[in-house]
Amino acid sequence: MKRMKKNTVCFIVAFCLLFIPTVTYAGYGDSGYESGVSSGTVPGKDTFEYQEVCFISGEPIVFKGTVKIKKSMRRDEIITTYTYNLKNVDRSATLTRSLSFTTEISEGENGQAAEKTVLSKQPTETIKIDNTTYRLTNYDFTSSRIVVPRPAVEYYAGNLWWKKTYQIGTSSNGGTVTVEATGEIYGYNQYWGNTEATILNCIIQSEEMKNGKLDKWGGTAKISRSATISQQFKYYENIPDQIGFSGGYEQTQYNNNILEYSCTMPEFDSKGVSTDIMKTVSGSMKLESSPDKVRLPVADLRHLRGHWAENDIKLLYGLGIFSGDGSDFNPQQYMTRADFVSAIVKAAREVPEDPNLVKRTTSGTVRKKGSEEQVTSPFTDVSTKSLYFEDINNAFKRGLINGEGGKFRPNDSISVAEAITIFIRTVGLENLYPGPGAVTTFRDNDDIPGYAREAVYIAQKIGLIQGDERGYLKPNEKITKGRAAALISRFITYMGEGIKKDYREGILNY
Amino acid sequence: MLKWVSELKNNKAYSLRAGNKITAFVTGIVIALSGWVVPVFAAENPEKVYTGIENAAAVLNNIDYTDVKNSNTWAKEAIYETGALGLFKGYGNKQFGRSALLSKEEALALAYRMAGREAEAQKAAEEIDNQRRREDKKKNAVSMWADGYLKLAADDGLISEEDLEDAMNPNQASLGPGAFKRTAPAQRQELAYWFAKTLELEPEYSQERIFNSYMDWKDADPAKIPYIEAILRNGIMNGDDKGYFRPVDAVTREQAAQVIKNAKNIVLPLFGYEKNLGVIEDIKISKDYSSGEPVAIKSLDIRNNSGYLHRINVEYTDSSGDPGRNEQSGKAHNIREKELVVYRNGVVGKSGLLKKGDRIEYITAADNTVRYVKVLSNRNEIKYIAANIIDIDPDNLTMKITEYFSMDYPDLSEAGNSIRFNDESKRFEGAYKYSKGISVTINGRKSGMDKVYPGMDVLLTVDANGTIIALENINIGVSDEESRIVSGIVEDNNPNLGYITLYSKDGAGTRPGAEQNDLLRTYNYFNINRLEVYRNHEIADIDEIEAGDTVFIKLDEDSNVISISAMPNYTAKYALVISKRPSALILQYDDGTQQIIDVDENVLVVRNKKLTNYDSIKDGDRVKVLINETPNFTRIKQITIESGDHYISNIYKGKVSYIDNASDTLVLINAEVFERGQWRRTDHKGATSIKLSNKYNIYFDDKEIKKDVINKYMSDSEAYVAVERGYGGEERAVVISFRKEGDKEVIYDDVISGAEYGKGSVKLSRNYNTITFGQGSIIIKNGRLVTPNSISNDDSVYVVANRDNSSGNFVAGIIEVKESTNTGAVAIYRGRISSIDENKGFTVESFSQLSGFIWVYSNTAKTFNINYGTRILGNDGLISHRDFTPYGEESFIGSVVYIVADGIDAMVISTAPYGIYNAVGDLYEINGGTVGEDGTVIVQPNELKLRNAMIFDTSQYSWASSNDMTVNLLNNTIILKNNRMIKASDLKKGDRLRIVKSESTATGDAYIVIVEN
Repeated sequence: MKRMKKNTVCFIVAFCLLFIPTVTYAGYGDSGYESGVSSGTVPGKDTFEYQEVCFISGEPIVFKGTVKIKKSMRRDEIITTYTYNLKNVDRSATLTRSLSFTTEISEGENGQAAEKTVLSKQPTETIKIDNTTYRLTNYDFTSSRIVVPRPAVEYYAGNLWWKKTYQIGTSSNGGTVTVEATGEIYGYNQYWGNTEATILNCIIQSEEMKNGKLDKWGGTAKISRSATISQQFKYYENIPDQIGFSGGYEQTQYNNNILEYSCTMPEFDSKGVSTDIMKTVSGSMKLESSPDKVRLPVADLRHLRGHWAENDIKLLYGLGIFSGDGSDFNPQQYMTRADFVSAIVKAAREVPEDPNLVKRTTSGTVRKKGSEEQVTSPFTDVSTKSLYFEDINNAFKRGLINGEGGKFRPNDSISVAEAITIFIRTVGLENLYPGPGAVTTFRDNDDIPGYAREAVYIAQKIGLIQGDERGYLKPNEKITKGRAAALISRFITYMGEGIKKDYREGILNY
Repeated sequence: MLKWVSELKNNKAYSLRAGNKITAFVTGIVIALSGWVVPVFAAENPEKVYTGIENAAAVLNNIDYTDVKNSNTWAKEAIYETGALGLFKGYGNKQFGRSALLSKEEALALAYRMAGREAEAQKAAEEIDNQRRREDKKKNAVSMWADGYLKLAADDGLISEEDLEDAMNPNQASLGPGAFKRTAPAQRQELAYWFAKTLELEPEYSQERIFNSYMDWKDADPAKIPYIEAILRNGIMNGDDKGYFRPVDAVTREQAAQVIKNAKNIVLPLFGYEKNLGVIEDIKISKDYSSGEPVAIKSLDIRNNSGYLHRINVEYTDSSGDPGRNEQSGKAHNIREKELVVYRNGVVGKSGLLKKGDRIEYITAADNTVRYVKVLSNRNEIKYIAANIIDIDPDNLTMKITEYFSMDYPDLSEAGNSIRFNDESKRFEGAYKYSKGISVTINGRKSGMDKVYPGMDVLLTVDANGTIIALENINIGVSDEESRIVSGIVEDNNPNLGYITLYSKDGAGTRPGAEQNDLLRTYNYFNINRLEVYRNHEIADIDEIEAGDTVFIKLDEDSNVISISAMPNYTAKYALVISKRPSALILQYDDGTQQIIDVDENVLVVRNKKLTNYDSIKDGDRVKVLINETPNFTRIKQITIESGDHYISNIYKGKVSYIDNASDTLVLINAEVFERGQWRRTDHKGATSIKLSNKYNIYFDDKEIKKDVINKYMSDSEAYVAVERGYGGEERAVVISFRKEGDKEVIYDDVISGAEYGKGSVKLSRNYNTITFGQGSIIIKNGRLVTPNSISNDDSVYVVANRDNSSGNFVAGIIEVKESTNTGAVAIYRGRISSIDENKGFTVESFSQLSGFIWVYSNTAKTFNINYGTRILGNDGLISHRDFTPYGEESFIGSVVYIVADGIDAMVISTAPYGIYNAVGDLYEINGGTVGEDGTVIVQPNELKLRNAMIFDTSQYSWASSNDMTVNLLNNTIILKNNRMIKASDLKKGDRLRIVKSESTATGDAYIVIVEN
């Protein structure tokens, strides 16, 4: 029988502790739903570089220019307006388009959000290529996605279908082109970066009067695009010797947006009439916004000069994941569970909100400095007055830790298995577990405690952990602070770079 | 105690709600309140009060069967219970008639009686009797009543009209062998059918799985099978422990009693009875003298399985007083007795048999009397535990289990509130001894420990010593059939030997050694041909299930596998092909680890979403592999080759000025590009910046060096830079290999004659040189960066080597294996079109074929095919196949055309004029084309400039040099490279061209251009 916890009452002052650099944010739909890619949005700006490939004339034509995106939120609806202004100088071609979508969000009890996006206003689009005008006469559109939040990563998947009909020329009997597209969208969002990958399959059908005859043709196009924000950490050794601190890290945020297309279209004869010869043309485009760099603070780690984990420890101090000035950091000391959780809540921060979303109704998210709140501890052995209370409470609330029997054992040393379990909870990839009783290939697989098996299996699968040279994991070993630094640093690299690969290269190149 | 629990629960819920808003102060109060609740329980009023029955002694006397009491029959309980409740009575002479066979008419009567339809049958019997002539009227009432049941049975379809006719035949002895003799023994299947009918069980038409699992199911009457299935599902009848149902066997009376008892849950409500379960918490005796006679009242306080208090009051004459006597017989009075009929361990008696702590089943009637009490066990002696078996050790008679919960009743469905969980969050694991004589019941059938396997959910009966004395399999929240499903990860599948082994539930069992056998779970295939196998939800062969798969296995009642559904578990990994062998790949994963993986013909190779063959994998390819990785082996399932042509696009040479750390850019001064064995200055003068790829390597003096070193020590040193084409066509440096200053560079165009990887060198066949190579050598094959292992003998190569100043050795800076050209032959013809089969082909009346440098004429007709790849070039450019017609103003009949053909398939048809002169030369300038800002060709070039040109003089059969040559390209000029038609924009400076033209001059139109690199 579960006994009642003895609750303690105390008051704490809530204020923001975390330093958050300016974030370029590639939110869902920032490249629109068309066959183009944008450079990603930057808070405070609403117009972005944009490129798009257009197939309606029977050959791929790359348009370049800008897209202006306006998002506003009203209750459970987001209204997004896209204004495209594009041209291709070589072909003296232009494309102007204005689209407005309403996204309805319905949140399920499990925290998952289902979104449905529809056109909310009459769309307009005019394309001019080689003195031919294509005017959008009809646009059917539907898209939906499901967003699944995990403690530190938000994953989503969506589908997209649209059909556009253009009128060729100014007279109503000049002909029509229709483009029908079906797409799939996958993405994730998290503090260290995000990626969205889209695959769009189009069929283009044209009927046009040419030289007094109706010319009918069809072609296909496949567009894969990926928008990525990732973080890299570069170490800079100081050039002058006589400088009051050691070398340090620079955090660079890359914003990478690529699009690849491949289309199979008829070749046109010398009179501009389609032939039966099909030609496959492929190409790619890339848009990058300039990398955003932040030099990280430098800790005093002279006593660790040459230690295996020196650079990992430096990085974690630089990122504020380890706090203090570092001078008392002992890498040989076992790390306590409290210390580890305190680090992990800073390494696995919450998914940032879309900064471009203009909220009409100000919710109570802004806390006044000095506001009072009664706080109780989720664990009987963690006092609310504890130095670690806030981090442990945060980790508990986000589901990173559960404790056992109402206790957290903050002062116990953390084991490898425990740490891996927390990592996997953080990324929320439990879904990768093939079922009860799955085995890892570590030679000491049987030593993995039952509660950690799932996590260890997944961590090995996604490449977060490796065995030692002899293939052992030693899951029950306690972790020293040095090893913890290496593990957390690897985790951050995974979050910043590793996870991206499956969404970008995995979807675009294979 | 239990009351207290529920109170606490309610209060807790309240405190949680309140806690958010108010303060924890409330919580404090709640805790205090909860504490106060405890004493309240003492004054608890019973929810119901029952009494005993006045005729308990008579009932006990009726069921005091001598043939039961002194026997050891297993049916004792059933006989007593059905007797006490008046469901199934004995012969009346203290005999039950255990082994007497139930006749058909008795069985029908029983079936109707169980359904509470006795009165209906009586009415029917009377009607039949009334229709009879006086002399035929039944003398025997029992037979007459039986007539009623038979009539009712025929009306309800339990028996046919013919059966009824047979049954009503007064001369039963005259009936033939197939006839329905009313006094003949009822068959088991008949009893099942009739019970199912009268008790209105839903027949199971669709899935007769349980019954089908009996060996003799085919012996049953097909019409009755759905009903037998229903009876089986309700546990009313069962098969024997050998796997037989025995549908045509007869039924003894004691068996019939058991059947009725099994149907208790359905039957009791029909008789107005209610079954209750509870534990006797207290027994209190008080005396009542109010009626003038001393009466003892025994109150049994019972905590029922819903947590409520029930009380049974029993009254009997206090033996200490004078009960009074019958004045005739002298027998003592039994007045005012309200007693119980109690069954305890094979003995029946009155309430004196009950003890405190007894777990009892008590059957009550609507008049609040208790008709029958059965003692299940005593709380202090027997524990019931629902558990999952982890492990069984038959040698030491121990069993390791995960305990779900314990409870007071040996029946999960009735345990109700008595279920006690150890801990809500944690399941308790423990080991128990089990008795050698343990009673095992599997799916209602007596069984043995050999049918008990790890993973089973069981109900254990544990005695006071903590020994398991009985085990029964149970289903926790799942259907009976589903309970025989096990799941896990396959350790080994061996269809030949007929078994499959799964890893233990917790994923242990990978350590070699003795304990392995205890951890793994092995199941046998009973009949491999009747096995149902699915993999990835598709019907599969049993051989396809492999180690590492997730499986669900359905077992039959003997724990043999009858169905498997498997799902493969493949991990996707990205890797670089280091070396491709005929049946193995050496892969380097992204984390730097390497692995050799066997590849067999079952491995799927995919490129551009299309199945291709193993040959299309080249060394240096990037691949995504799907692998099945288990502790015992790694097996590859699918290889997807990276598409998008992210190949080495160029190799540059130049002085590295520095690397810009901020933008990850390499700055190269005086960049030259390696083309066809030569360094050529690029179009871009001065400094060129090249982005670094995500993964790049820098080498100097055969060692890998760090990026920082360059800016410090290598500034302005010359390096070879291999670049690959990235997204958006941007070139990215993947290898930067520094040259040693002072080394002399030589370039060879040669063939490998001796590749000795062990020595790190290759021999060239023409130059007799040995070239060593190392980490820093850039080796390119098929456009991919490869390791030296990929170089083979007879490879045609360009080698850029540096002669080491100190040793004099030649060290390879670059080895580029030349791409083998398409050797398939295409022929070039010229002829006059005589007929056209639209969109299909055409015929020339005679033709010339370009042979060497001259046209050879044949005066025969030749027909060529037109297919979707055929390009027809007219004076204005491409002509649609559909315009290539034999009629109309633009008819092609009579036109003289060039035909480039592969066999008889026309690749190109061109209307370009006749050219008899052949020229060769090196392309150095391409003019007239325009390229858009993103590199797309907008207008094709129309002029080519050649140097070192020579013209073949057909009359002299000799070459005349003309040095420079300028030719025009027409809309219908045919340009061929590697036997394929290319665009003028695809020509490259430095290409060696052959040109067919009309004049022998150094200018004019080119009709055919052939790249002859």
